[in-house]
Amino acid sequence: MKVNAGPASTMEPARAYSFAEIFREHARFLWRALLGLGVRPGDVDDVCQEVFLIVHRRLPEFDGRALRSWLYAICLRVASEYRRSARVRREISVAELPESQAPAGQLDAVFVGELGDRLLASLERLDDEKREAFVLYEIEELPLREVAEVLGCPLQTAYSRLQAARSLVRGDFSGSTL
Amino acid sequence: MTTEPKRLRLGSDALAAGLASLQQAQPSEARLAALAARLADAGAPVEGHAVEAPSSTFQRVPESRSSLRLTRAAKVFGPGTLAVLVALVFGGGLIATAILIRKADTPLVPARPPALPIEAQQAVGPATPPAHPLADAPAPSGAAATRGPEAGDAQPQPTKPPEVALPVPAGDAVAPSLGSEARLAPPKTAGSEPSPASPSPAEPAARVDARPAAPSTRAETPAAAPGPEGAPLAANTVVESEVDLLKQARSALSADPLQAFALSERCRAQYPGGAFAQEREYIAISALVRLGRDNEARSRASLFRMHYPNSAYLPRLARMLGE
Repeated sequence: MKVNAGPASTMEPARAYSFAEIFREHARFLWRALLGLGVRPGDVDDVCQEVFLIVHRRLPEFDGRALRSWLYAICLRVASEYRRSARVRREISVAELPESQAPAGQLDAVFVGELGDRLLASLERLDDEKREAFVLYEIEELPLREVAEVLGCPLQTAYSRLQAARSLVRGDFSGSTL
Repeated sequence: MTTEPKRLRLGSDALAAGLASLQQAQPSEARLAALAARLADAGAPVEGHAVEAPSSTFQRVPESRSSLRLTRAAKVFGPGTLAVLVALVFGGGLIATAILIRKADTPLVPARPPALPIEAQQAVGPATPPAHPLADAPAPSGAAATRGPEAGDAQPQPTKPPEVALPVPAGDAVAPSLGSEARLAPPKTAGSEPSPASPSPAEPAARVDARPAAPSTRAETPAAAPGPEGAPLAANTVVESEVDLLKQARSALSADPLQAFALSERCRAQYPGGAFAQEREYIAISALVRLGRDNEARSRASLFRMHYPNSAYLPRLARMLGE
């Protein structure tokens, strides 16, 4: 992952991270981000595992800068692949699936409430770029500069994507009250 | 240079609440431990995590990033003040209600879907109030009350009541699309089945097994847990026992009433017959008042009065509502 040495990178000097440390400090956030990125609750564990296997494999080549951006970038890629394959899977096999229910403990572990659910549904309608910008900025609350870093785009582009996403999501929520 | 847009979560609308909900959607320690175990099986060992994960990892949970709103409140008030505030709020009958609910744990299944949005709840109106088991909760006793939250606080987080407890009907009522999607999802390798090769914690299995018996375990968990006093509040915010959720909600009340309200609603959804329903409702009403949503606050308060005619909170509620 190419990471430019912006302000955050200077605040976060390069250093070595252990895999365990990364897992400990970031797993819960990456897991959450996957949910926002469209991974279905019953699949989040699997996809998160995939993310961390990649992290583990690529850690030796990680330059030790901007760890969070690096992690989210991996997360985004894996989620994007997931969404593509999930779409295919859904189209093919919806009829066969009811038998294969996720274990009970899995699905209820993710509780986002009615409004969270509505937001997920709204995110589902965004294209990948907007969705990613939105999730990183509004849910993960990364600074915009870091969002751009993760997305691998100029700051202004990240800003535009975010604004576009916000406007669409706001549209979905307009007129609704808590 | 592009300026940072104000985060939507800081707004005071449904979208902000939805965002707050998603931010809260973090995996339990047990789930992380199961994940760690699977990673170990797959050749990516997370030292220490799979073996001793639940309690020990929790202690090391970083306060990093934005998910822990409580830390913000803690900064504003200072941890000491915060603890006192929490103690005050929870003080009202906490232990008493906890004891009571263990005696009378029958009406744990809510009379209505537990997590209806507030409009729906109010549409239902006073005629069909939520079935809380705490209707006769006596006034708090001072000493017990102040100790209350701390006792609940020490509940070892890995058990993660929400996962143990969330009844299927709640999931259905609250997040239909999410639920159905989850059900459709092929299980692949189940997260709750760490391979036997790795030393995985008991929690995941226990969590799944415990589900059928959920309601009563739910009510008991928060109150039943003894533990060290004075544990830093912020350290507990990731886990969502009923007490933790309410503490977060209470802490957010001043700085971020919307967040407080969202948390109390979340708590209501997860613990519809919870042991601290009065505390939760009191927080929710306080939040509504702070948000200037007086009508909602009043109608909710009248429900509260119906359910808890002897509550120690009634005078405070009346003052708060200017009655």
